[in-house]
Amino acid sequence: MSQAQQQKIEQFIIFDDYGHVYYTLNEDKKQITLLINSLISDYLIGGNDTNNNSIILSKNYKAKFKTVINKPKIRFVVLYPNSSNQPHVWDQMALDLLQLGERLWESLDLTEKITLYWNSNSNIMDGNNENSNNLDILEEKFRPYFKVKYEEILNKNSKKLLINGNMGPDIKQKANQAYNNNSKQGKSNSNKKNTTGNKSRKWNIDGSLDESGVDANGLDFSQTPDDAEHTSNNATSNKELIQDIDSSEFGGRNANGDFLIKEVDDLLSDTQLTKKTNKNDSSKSTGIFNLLQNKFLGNKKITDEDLSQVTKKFEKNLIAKNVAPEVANYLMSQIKKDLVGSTTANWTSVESTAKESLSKTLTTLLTPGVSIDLLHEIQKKRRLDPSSPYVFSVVGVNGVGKSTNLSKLAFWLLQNNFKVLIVACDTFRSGAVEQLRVHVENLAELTDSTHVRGSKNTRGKSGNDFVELFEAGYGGSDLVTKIAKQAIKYASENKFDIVLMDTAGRRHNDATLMSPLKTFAEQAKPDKIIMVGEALVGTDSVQQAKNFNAAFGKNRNLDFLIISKCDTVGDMLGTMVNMVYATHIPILFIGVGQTYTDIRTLSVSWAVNTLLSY
Amino acid sequence: MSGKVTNMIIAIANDLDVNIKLLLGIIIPIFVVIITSVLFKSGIFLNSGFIANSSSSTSGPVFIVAGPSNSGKTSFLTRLREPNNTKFQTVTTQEYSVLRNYRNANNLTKKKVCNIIDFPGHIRLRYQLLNYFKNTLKNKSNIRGVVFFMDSTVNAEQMVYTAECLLDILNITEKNGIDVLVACNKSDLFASRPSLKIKEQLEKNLKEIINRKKKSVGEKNSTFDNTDDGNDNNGIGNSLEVIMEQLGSDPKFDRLESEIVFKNGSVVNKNIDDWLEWMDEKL
Ligand SMILES: Nc1nc2c(ncn2[C@@H]2O[C@H](COP(=O)(O)OP(=O)(O)OP(=O)(O)O)[C@@H](O)[C@H]2O)c(=O)[nH]1
Ligand SMILES: Nc1nc2c(ncn2[C@@H]2O[C@H](COP(=O)(O)OP(=O)(O)OP(=O)(O)O)[C@@H](O)[C@H]2O)c(=O)[nH]1
Ligand SMILES: [Mg+2]
Ligand SMILES: [Mg+2]
Repeated sequence: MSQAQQQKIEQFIIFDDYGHVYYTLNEDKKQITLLINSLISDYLIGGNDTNNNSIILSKNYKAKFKTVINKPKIRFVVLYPNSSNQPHVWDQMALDLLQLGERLWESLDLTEKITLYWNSNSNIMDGNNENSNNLDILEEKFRPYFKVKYEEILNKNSKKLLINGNMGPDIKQKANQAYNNNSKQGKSNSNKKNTTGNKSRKWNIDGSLDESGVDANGLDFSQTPDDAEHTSNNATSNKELIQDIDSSEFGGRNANGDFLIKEVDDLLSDTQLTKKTNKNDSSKSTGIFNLLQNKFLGNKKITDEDLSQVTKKFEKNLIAKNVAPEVANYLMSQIKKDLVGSTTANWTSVESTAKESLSKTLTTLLTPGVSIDLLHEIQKKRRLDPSSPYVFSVVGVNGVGKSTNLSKLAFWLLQNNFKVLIVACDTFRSGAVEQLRVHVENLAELTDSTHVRGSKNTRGKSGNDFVELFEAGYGGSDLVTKIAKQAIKYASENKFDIVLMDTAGRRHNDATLMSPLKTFAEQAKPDKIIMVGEALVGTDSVQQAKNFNAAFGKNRNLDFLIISKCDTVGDMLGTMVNMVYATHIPILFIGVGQTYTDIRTLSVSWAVNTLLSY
Repeated sequence: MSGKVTNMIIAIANDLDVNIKLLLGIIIPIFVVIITSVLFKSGIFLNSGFIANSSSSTSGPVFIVAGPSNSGKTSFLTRLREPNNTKFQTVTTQEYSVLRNYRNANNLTKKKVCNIIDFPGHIRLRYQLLNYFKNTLKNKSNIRGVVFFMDSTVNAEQMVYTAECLLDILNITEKNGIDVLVACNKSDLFASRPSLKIKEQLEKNLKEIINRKKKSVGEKNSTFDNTDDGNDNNGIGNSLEVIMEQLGSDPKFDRLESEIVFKNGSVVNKNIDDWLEWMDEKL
């Protein structure tokens, strides 16, 4: 409960893709800025698709965002309490704020002014710095306008929140105002709150907007469906109150405040009308000139239709390269999100603009969010805790190349002078242990040419002093976790640096085979779980990756992907896109053949170029 | 310039009837072909942002501001752009931006202007800088220097990420003879370390990184070639062999041919003169 007491709209912030902040509702705090940055990193850059639902940013905070397409893109973000008591009220309030911000932004033509600002020259010499003048409007107009409407929204909703006794002092303080304010407007509200139930929550202008009236609700954007009755109840029950209240008691909302509201509302309603007519105008330019702009001249406002033609072509090409339709579809929607409403550069066709955007999306998708330096991580762990080995386990569908790629990984680690224990946790498929023994013999031979195949090492096991097989025959999943735990103990007793656990192949949609993975991971606690997926697989790869990523329960994910058999697919690299899309897990290596040296790290730019070529 | 012409044509065309538009549809292509060929000959295309895929033209000398996320790059540019703005805030940059025709007010003797480009430090967006290099270095480039921003308060643990980022950039600058200023920002904070110390620590980290890189798995960047890491001409590919060779097994910045200078400063405290001075020298 104590945490609930602090609840208020934490921040409303407007910034652009250059990293420039134009407006914040509240003074910035380090902690909050960090949260905003994590939202940018995970959702705006990381491409986590949200369909604009609420994002749960932390235990305490949720966020919603909106984007105005422009160059640069303008982002509106509202950060509000992750409240368990009145989630709908908060969600709605957040949405209202976003709409308010966006409408106000448009009404003041700020998009245009910001474009001007960025395109103008820095002009420090001449003293008359035009740049800053351009944006003074943010403080002079946007801030007070936003504030007054914000308080209105706050007031409307504070009543609902007050009923639950769940409000921060910030809102509580305004509670009185809220009652007053609501009741004051109660009369007009109750006529006005017609029966639409506010389903289409646009910024409808009330047709009957009274020009002379002091009507803060002329533009109703903050009414929730259940609000109407509350308000009208309120209107009657507080009727007497109204007469007693002096308008000066409204704090900031004195006569001046009301005047300001009218100014804002007039502004908002004015621009909506002109917007409409503008729209008609621009859609008229069709025909040959449009075509020229589209294909050659550039400087064209990109519409949904322009893109649809191009994206169809892209989509077909991607699907031909093994990208799953679902993923291709997502990529196309990203292009539209990126471009609809923006203007092509001079001399640039819509198609090449769209291709650039696709290339951007694919590059960010495939680029790992953290730098992958496996050797660094191994060294770090071994330094901190020399007695425990670094543990990998490899999972995946049958026959994709788990054992082979695990052996490739082993070979690379051996070359780096690590002592490697290979553990046969595939206790299901007959012959799996023997197959792994062959790999160990090969590796022993490769690291030490005097190794005699089939001989035992000093501990009486297959392999030599650098690489050794840990085996315990065949059996059920109980045996698997037992082997895993024994192997780790054995490894630390015998000073192995690395433990590599091979696991049985399993169909990703077979629950009885998938469910033991969770206990396995909990018991063996591998430092890294790697999923191997084969490049050949195609559309099914999305589901494969999703299911394996989910198999370890809420608190554990896959750490890496290895995409095997990339040498067999030519330029059909779609599988890697599918799997990264499905999991947001980075690709550690790709497999490019059947020998131990056939692993590579992925060059993202190569992959993207290959995928985009025709 | 080309943009203005086009804009004009479009503006005119929009005002005319459909009939006349049709007529124009025939004239314009011819007109356009003429203009384009002229522009290509005069080389305007080559220096403009056209190639870097941006409508913003960046002719004239260029400084690149790069470095890890949260090091203060955008803050620095905002300080330059709005010297009188005392209170500004930034968030993570998602797209590079250009400060055009910047002139350092203190240095009136040199009446030169330059463009300064602020690149995102986010690891997923580093490709923007690489693409920029790739597109501009092909032609005679006017990049006068790279200002590598870093947070001088980063702890030993995190220094490795800064070093990694720096190595990627040195890989390009060294091959192309571009000088680098390492701007050790945030000297106003208590935990800030002097640039000499930082230089030492970066060298130590580079040594470890290079050792690991030498042992790491090669990269696949060609469909046909399995055995070798291919590498593009101006070294934009990720292969770091050349720079690693040059830095040596015990890396020292002084061993590089291009100049690597370290200077402390603080955007917040407006303590940025050392950096601006360096830039002036390179102009
Ligand atoms: N061309 C090519 N073949 C590969 C690659 N990786 C694995 N293979 C082959 O794929 C086949 C299956 O490999 P395994 O390692 O046995 O696969 P697995 O996933 O362990 O199989 P199960 O244990 O039965 O589930 C073998 O013939 C490997 O040689 C690769 O990158 N390229
Ligand atoms: N104390 C202190 N903080 C600074 C200084 N310069 C920048 N900061 C802060 O560092 C944070 C990051 O600054 P930005 O300019 O956004 O960083 P950036 O390098 O552009 O980061 P990306 O856009 O993510 O690459 C902000 O919170 C700044 O206020 C400084 O000189 N001193
Ligand atoms: Mg196997
Ligand atoms: Mg930035």
